[in-house]
Amino acid sequence: MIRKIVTVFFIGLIIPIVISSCRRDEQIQPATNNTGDTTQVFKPTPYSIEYPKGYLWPRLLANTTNPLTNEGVELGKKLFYDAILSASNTISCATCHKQEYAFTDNRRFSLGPNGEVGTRNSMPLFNLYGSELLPNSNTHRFMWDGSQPGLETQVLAPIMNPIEMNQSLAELERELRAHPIYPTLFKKAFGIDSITIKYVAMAISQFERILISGQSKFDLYKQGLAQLNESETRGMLVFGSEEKGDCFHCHGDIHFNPFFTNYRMHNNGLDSVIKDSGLFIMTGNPADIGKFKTPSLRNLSFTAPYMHDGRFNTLEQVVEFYNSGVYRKGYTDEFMRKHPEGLKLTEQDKADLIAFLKTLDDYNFINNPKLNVR
Amino acid sequence: MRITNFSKKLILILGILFFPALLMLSCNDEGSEVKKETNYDGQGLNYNTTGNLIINIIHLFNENNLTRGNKYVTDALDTISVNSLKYYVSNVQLKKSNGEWTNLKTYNLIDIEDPASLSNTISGIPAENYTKLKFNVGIDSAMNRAGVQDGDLSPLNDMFWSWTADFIFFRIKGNYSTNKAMTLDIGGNQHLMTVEVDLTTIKQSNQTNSITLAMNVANIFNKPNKYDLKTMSTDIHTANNADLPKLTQNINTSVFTLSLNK
Ligand code: HEC
Ligand code: HEC
Repeated sequence: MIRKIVTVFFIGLIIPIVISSCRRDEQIQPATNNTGDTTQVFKPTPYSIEYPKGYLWPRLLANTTNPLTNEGVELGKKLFYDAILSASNTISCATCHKQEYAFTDNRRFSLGPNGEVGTRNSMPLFNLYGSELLPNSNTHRFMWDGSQPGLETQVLAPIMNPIEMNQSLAELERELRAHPIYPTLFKKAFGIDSITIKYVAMAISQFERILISGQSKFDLYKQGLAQLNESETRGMLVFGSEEKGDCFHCHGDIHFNPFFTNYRMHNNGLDSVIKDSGLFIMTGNPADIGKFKTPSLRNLSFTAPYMHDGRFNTLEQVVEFYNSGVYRKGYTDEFMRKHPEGLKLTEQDKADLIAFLKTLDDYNFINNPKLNVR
Repeated sequence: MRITNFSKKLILILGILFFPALLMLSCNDEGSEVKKETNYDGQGLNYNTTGNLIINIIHLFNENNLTRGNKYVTDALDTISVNSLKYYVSNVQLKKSNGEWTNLKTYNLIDIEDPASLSNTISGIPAENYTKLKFNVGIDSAMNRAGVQDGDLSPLNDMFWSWTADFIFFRIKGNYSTNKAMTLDIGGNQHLMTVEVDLTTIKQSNQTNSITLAMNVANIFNKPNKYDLKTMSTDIHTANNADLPKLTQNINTSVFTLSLNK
C-alpha cells in the first residue's frame, strides 16, 4: 500500500517534470515512435566533411544547435532543389543558384515568380561557412549588403520575398506536412513529428555548409600536383603585389587564405554617385555607404555577370575597372584610394591576372553529382 | 527688528502656503514610508519551495480598458485607434533579497487579439524572496541572432523582418487623425527595452503566485516623450528610424505598472 502511494507520488512528480522539460528544452531529443519500437530511435549519422588539400582549410564552427548529419544534409539538398518552397511551386533555390554556375545564375538580375526583376545580382554559394568565422561582433555576414547575420535566418529572405518565392510560411508548413515523403525525412533528420519552418531552415543551412569548393588547378598547384604556366605565374604576382594589382587586401592572401575573400564589407569604388548604398541601408552609418560583401574570386568563369548589380559581363571589364575605372575618392576604401592614378597595369599584366584568376575555377565543384538531385 | 518681523511674516506666509503641501507630501510619504519600514522578508513574492509565477497583462488607455477600434486622444491631441498590438515580453527576471537577479529565460509573445497570450505561467522559480520584477520588451541580441525558432518565436507570428533577420520587438497598428494608417514597428538590437517593476507593494507567498501588469497604451504616446503623430513617423519598418528612441524610452519607463486591482 505504502509502495503504491510512493509510486503514484513519484509518477505524479515525474510526469510534470518530463512534460515541462519537453516544453522548455528545444534541443534534439531521441524520439521513439508510439509503439515503443526501439529500432525507430532517432539517431542521425554525423556528416563528416572532407576538407580540400593544399591549404590549411579553416574548419567549420562547432555547431551544437544544428550539427551536420547525413540525413540533415540530404534533406536540405532536396529542399534546396524543390519548388515547393515557392508560392507558385515553380521556383526553387536552384532557380537562381544553379550548380553549373557555381550556384549563382547567369542573369544580371534574377527573375521572380511573375517575371519581376530584382536589383541585385544573385550570389554564388560555396565556402559560405567562411563568413561564419568572422568575429561574433560582426554580424554582416550574408547578402551583398550584409543584411543577414546567419544562414538559418537567410533562408527566410528569399522564401518570404514577394519578388522571389513569395511564400506564406504557414502555407509552406501545411504543404510539407501533407507531403508523402517529407514528414519521414524530417523525422529521420531531426526526430520531429510535425514539420516547422525552423527545421526547414536548419536542413537547408546544413546543405549550404557542405558546399565547399577547393579543387581548382591552383589548389593542385599548391599541393605540387600541377604546374602554373608562365602567364598564370606572372598573374599570381600581379594579384599579390602592392605595386601592381594589390588585390589581396580584400580578396585574401594567396599563401594563407583559401577563400579568396576576407568576407568583409568594402566599397571598391564602383561609382562616384552611389545608387545602391549597400551596408549603409543596414547601419545608417555614412562610413558604410557603398560597401558590399567582398565576393570570392574562385569560380569566376562560371559566375558572370560580376558585382552586386551584375554590371560587368567579362573579367576583362572587371580588370580594366580596377586598373583605370575606380572612383578613388569619397567613401571608397583606403586600399583603392592609395592608388590615386590607377594601377597602371600593362596589357600583359591584365592578361596574366585573368589567366591566374582562371586557375581558381573548380570544375569538380560544378560537376560534383553529390551536390545535385539529378 | 524690521528684518525679524519680515522674516516672521515670511515664515508664516510660507507656512500657510506650504502646510497643505506638506500634509499632502506626508500623506504620499506615509505609503512609501510604510513600504520601506515593512520591507522585511516576506514582502513581495515569497517562495518557500520552487514555484510558479503567473503574469497576467491587461491593456488600458489611461484608466479605461483598451478596446480595439475605439477612438482615444493622446496628449499631443492626436485621435488614435488600435487594431493590433503585439510585443514580446522576455527574460523575466526576479530580484532576490541579496540583490542578485534570477533570469527565468522566458520568451512570450503578447497579442491583444489572443486572450491566451495575456496570461503566462513561468515555472521553476527557485525558493527565494523576490522584491522586483524586470523583463525585456523585445528579444535579446543572442536570441535575435540564434536562427529560426518555433512557438512564440516562430516567424509565422509575423513579428520578423525577414530582410534583416530581426525580430520585431513591438508592434502597434491602427489609425490616427481621420483614418490615416499608423504602423509603429520597433526592432533592432539597439532598441531592446527593459522594464522594472517594484513588487514590495504586494505580498504573496504561495506555491503559485500571480501578478497583473497594466500596460497603458496612452503612455506610449505621452510619457515622458510626447509622440506627436502629426509631425513624427507614423509608418516605422526599420531599426534606423530616428523617432524610435522616443517610443522605446516611453515603453521603458511609463507604460507598464503593477496593477493592484486584479
Ligand atoms: C529569385 C532568385 C533567388 C531565389 C529563388 C533564391 N535566391 Fe538566394 N540570392 C539571390 C540574390 C539576388 C541574392 C543576393 C541578394 C542581395 O544581396 O540583396 C541571393 C543571395 C543568397 C545568399 C547569400 C550568399 C552570400 O555569400 O552572402 C544565400 C546564402 C542564398 N541566396 C541562399 C538561397 C537559398 C537557400 C534559397 C532558397 C530558399 C535562395 N537563395 C533562393 C537570388 C535568389
Ligand atoms: C578594397 C577591397 C578590394 C580590393 C583591393 C579589390 N577588390 Fe575586388 N571586390 C571587392 C568588393 C567589395 C567587391 C564587390 C563589389 C560590389 O559588387 O559592389 C569586389 C568584386 C570583385 C569581383 C567580382 C566578383 C563577383 O563575383 O561579382 C572581381 C572579379 C574582383 N573583385 C576582382 C578583384 C581584383 C582582380 C582585384 C585587384 C586588381 C580586386 N578585386 C581588388 C573588394 C576589393
